[in-house]
Amino acid sequence: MLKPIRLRNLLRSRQASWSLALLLGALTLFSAIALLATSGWFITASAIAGLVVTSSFTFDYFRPAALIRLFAIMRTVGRYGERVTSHHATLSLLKDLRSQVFHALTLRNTPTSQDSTGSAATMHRLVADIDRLDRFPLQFITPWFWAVLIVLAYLTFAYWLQPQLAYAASFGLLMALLVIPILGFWRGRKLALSDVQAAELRREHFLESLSLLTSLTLWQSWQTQQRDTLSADEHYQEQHHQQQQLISLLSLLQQLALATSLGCLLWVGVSLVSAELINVPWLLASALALLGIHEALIPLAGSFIGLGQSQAARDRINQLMQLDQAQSVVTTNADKPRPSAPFQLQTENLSARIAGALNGPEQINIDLHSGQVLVITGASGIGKTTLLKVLANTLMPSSGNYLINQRPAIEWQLDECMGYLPQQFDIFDSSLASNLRLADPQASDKQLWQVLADVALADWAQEQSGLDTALGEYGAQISGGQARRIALARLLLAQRPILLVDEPFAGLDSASSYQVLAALRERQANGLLIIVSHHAMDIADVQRLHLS
Amino acid sequence: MSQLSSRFLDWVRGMPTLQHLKALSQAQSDVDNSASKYRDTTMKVLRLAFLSGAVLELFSSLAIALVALYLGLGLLGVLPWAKGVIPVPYAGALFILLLAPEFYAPLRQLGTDYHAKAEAEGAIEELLPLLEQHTWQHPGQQALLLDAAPALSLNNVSITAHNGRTRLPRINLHLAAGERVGLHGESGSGKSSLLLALLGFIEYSGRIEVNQNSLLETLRSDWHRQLGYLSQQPNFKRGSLAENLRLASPNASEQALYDVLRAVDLLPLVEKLPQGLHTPLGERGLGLSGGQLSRLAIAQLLLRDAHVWLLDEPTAHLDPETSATIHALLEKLSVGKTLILVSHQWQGLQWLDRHLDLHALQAQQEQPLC
Repeated sequence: MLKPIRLRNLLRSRQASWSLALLLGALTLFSAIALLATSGWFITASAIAGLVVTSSFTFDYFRPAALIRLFAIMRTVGRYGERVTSHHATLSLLKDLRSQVFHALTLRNTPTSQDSTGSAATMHRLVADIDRLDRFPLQFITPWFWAVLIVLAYLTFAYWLQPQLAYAASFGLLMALLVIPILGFWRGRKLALSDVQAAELRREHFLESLSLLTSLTLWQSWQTQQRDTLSADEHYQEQHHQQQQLISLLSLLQQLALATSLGCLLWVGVSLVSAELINVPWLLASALALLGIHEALIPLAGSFIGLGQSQAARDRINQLMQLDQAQSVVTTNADKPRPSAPFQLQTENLSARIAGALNGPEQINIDLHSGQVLVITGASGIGKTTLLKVLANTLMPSSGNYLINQRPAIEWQLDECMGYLPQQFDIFDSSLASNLRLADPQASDKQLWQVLADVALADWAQEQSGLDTALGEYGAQISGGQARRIALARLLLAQRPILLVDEPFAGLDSASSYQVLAALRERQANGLLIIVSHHAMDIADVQRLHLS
Repeated sequence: MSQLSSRFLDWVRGMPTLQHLKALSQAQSDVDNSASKYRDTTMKVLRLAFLSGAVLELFSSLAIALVALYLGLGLLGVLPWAKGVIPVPYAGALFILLLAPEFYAPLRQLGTDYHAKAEAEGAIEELLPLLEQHTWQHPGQQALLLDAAPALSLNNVSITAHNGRTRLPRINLHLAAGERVGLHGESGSGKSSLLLALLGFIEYSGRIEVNQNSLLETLRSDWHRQLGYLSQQPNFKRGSLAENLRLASPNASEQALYDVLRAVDLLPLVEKLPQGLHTPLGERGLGLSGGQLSRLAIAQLLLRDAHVWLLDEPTAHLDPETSATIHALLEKLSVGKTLILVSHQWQGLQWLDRHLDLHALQAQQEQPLC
């Protein structure tokens, strides 16, 4: 089943990459700070040595000079390596997350119904949220790891020089490292949460305006709607502005704490120098290193905003998945037997109702045998689609029996013998051929043309770019009726002996409708065919069921 | 990234279909592959970007190191070209050293900014086709004022898509003032394109006249003020019934809203709702049946008080009985309007003054003179 996503597990999937990135990052920061410290030590020591003319020729300047160059190169190489590995790890993390979420979604027992995966907007949100999760390692874990490590290393160094130095520096450092960022914790998290919401709101406004574009232009209320959209945008910008302000404020406080720390260090250091417990070059080295630490501390100011955003993203993903679990109705079980031909489909006093609907089919009796066709007609809202859902085993009847081959339908595994074209179907943003081949990856071009001919689309496809015709996002390049028939063709390719189709003739003139019907009947000659249609068609030898 | 996201989204959205078709493993491997491929291509780009950043970084690091060495060796007096001389005294040297990282910071910043620039270029590359897309602007400037339903005439109107495909072959059509006409035609015959041209949204060749005024010379907003348009699928936004109705006419009084609801026979339903006019509609009008949504769309139309109605298959998604009642409603409400109705279904549309077949309209002009 579905495991909720936990932030702390995010790093686990690519532990090696993350460890390498953390190591390289720490090395880079260390080199940057050490570069400054060594340089400071070197010129001060040189200056002191230079004062005494004789010693300036005995002073060993090769070793510090080499160290300085080493640190300079390490800093460069380290940063390059860190960036490459951490980006690789992030992209891999996103790949794993997508893969994992997708897999989780596939495992879910979703009935084949329109409301199971939620609206497109929800899915859009899901994808955006997955992308947002990478902020946790990038903006929270790594900066904290490095900052803590560097500060500890520095304090150890100072303690090794003179314990008093470490004590003097520690107050300001700990303020900058822990107290100040944590001060921003609540505010930062709250801002991050409302930021995620504001982004969502802005997106919704934007999409809604676009979907209403034609009407709004005609009604000349586009300006008003645009104003709303712009104000949503402004709200979002305002949120961002507040975040930036918070980050800047925290950074400022951190700088002040660091300056205090430096002041204390020098103050204590000067007295230590005069007591000859420490020499000037070393004091200067520690002071310069302290200045360099700010590079490691600055990212902490925004870390809680990153944390808040990834928490919000995690919560929403988990909530979405849980919600879907609750919605799933039918549990599939691979151990169930499969019915075999000849088929018989019966309902006895079957009634059903979609939750919240005012009415649904009542007391339905059907008895259908292999080779027979059932046409269900009736006014809109009377429950034709609901009935089909029950027959497709995606909705439990509220009363009555539904039998296939004399056994209750839920006791069969119908996945591979039942084909169902629901009211809401999906066309994918790829070519006609790859949409069709979803049903049968091995299908030959000839087979594809055959099913297209069966649904009266072969001529159309030939006029377009044949099997390579692009269908566009959401099937945007084709009309609703064509999309429906492409979905039907795909279903035919899957060769399911029991076929339930909802409105296959939408958007077809009557000649083509009969052509499609004939093809359907021929293909289902040994199976069952149930058609829901509001077209009054004159068809011979079929069972009819009129809901009223 | 956005491409990858939309691909993923596409699969997730179609999950029920994939499950039903047993195509999950295909989709899963596509998700995995496209994510890996995306990672690999991105890393290729990033490696280069980081390399250019690293070069800048190297310069700044080495520069700090060299400055430190120069100053230190100078203080020792062992610079090869200035032995025994101290070029920069200690105080100055320390000052320079402290400033060196700051001095080179902009160089490092440049690396980051360069990366940002590359990202921006990637983004604009996607946007440019959209921005540069030849969008046709309705050129009209003349004011148009109509007190009554106008006559409409289309002379040799044809529509060609950007890719050169003919969306509507040449047609001639004349509507007298207040005439109500039904347009027939197979799907893809250009009915919707014709309506779009009449709405002033797409370019056409030939001439469309409203009371002898060329549509191309008329101010489009003036023309729109006279137009009522129903699309195949009524669009509603999230918000209350009243808000959705007021989209069409922002200043409509509550009484006006009740009046139009009564006209479309929705009043009994609305009165039954506990929140009445303020009942929220879900996304895409969730909560109402198809027929009720059509009625609501007609109510919006009535609020506009337009003289010309263009209806694009207003009942395509309804069953015969419901569409018959909607058609009857349209008959009652469209009296005195110049009306073009495009439809597949003809039950309950006998009241239209004329039924025309788009195909026949095209054939007319191919006929020899007679």
